[in-house]
Amino acid sequence: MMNDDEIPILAQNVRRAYDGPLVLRDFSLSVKKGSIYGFLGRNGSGKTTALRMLAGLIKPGSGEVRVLGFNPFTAGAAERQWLGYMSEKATIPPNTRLRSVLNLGRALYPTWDAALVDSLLAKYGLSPRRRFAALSQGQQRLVGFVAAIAPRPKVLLLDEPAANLDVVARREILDDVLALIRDCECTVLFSTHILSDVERVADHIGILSNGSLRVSESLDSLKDSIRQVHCFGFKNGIPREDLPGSFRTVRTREDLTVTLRTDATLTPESLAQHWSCQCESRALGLEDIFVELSLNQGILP
Amino acid sequence: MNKFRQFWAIFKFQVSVNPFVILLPLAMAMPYFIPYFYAGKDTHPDLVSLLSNANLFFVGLIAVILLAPEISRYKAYNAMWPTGTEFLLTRAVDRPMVLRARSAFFYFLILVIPVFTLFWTLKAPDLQVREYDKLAYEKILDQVPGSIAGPASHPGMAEEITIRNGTSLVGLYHIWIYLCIAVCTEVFVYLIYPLRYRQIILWVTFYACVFIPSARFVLHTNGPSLGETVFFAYVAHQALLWITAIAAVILGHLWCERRFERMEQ
Repeated sequence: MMNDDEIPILAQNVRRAYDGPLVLRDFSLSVKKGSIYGFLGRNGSGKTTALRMLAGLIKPGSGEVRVLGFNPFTAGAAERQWLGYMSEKATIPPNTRLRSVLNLGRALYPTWDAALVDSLLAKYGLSPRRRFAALSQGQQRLVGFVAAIAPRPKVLLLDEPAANLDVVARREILDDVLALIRDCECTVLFSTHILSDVERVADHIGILSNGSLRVSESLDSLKDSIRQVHCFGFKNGIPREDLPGSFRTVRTREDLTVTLRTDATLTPESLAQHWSCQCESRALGLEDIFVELSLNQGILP
Repeated sequence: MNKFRQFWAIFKFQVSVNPFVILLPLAMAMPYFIPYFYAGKDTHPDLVSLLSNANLFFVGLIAVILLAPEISRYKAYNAMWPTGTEFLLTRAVDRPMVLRARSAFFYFLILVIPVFTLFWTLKAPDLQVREYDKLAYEKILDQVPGSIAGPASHPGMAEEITIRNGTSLVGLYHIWIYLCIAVCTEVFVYLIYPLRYRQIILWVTFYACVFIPSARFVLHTNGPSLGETVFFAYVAHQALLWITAIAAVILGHLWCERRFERMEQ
């Protein structure tokens, strides 16, 4: 069994509702130290609720949540200094000057990296004298990111970090996340709808659906295992029945294309033998995988 | 981490989040200063205006702005105009410290003007009171220590009562009543915080507290006002009421901290 150092982010059988139906149901998640975990799911699937729970803003209805071994809701300042969080929405009041936010961070975190802050502000073109109301939505997100990353946290939770950002700023944020990982072995959990970002930086992904985690594995393993197999030259005619466990099957008069998860027993070769045909398989991009899973595997909002 | 350093950092952040709330004590001070300038330097505000409830609604106003801004507004407005609570609670802070810093700022704003006026009134400690209500007039003479009846200063006006060290007495009373209202408001805010209809409860109670005591002016009720009645009770049991108020502030705040620590925002 791995300890808290090896699994800094852990949720077990978590249930949570807001005055009605469950938003999270039997949600379990474990993220290994030093990994960048992309958290995917359709709108309303419970990503933000899960992240807010991990950040200690809300409590689980039942189940257990641990970040670096502590309960994030009841954790004190000494524990929380290792946890960085960036919300999906603006959380800093509009009248506040950026300088006040930085002063607060400097006073609260012994590990506050002022040099990193200066370099990030210069890079993003942000002046500490400016008030939040005077910043664009994208700039406000950049400030949220700077405030989350500057304490050099061990765990960084980012809720839609790239929303409202232009392409350049988005890339810069992702590069900064990667640099942070390189420097201090930070564990990052971030939610996003931009799958190209996940492909660029994440090494693990989780797909949340209807309040529970349906998929949680390494990106490479997912991309290797989910294949689109094109079958043709059937000797006994095109099979009428779908392959058990396949995501989607498209038939034409002469051939058949099936999307499936391959494993030791189910390979394109075994399929060719089973159907007496020829098969060619191709890997899918993450976006295609997500769409296939969403449309055909009951991945609900 | 050093608790005071943490407290001070949150306190300063709180001030920067609400720069305009600092102006509210100036608005609170108006009823004190207008009679002073209006009537000349030798006259103090009379007892009736000092005891009116006109100012107390500022306590409620400052309380909701500082202690729990999110409960006084619609959720959609909170999303557009963040209060900073979520930001603070996701930093390296002890949850109770957030409320402690907010409460310190709240009590500072509430008490700064009454404390200032207390020192200001020491310059001329005797208080001249013009009381038109006969029952209240008799009660002042009967119950307020150091009160002496005198002639009217102008023909047609009510007879004046001079209260020795009356301005200090009223000044201290003011601090006491603000302290009481402040702790009641703080406890009330955190009592209703988790409730579903907290916004409605908050504003209905707020307006009821503002307007119900004023109803006597409309209804033309005779006798001492609510403020005067409380004042007479205060005069009779000053030491006890001060000890009770200070204990209530400490215990009330600690209760709020515990509640805040366990509550979701």
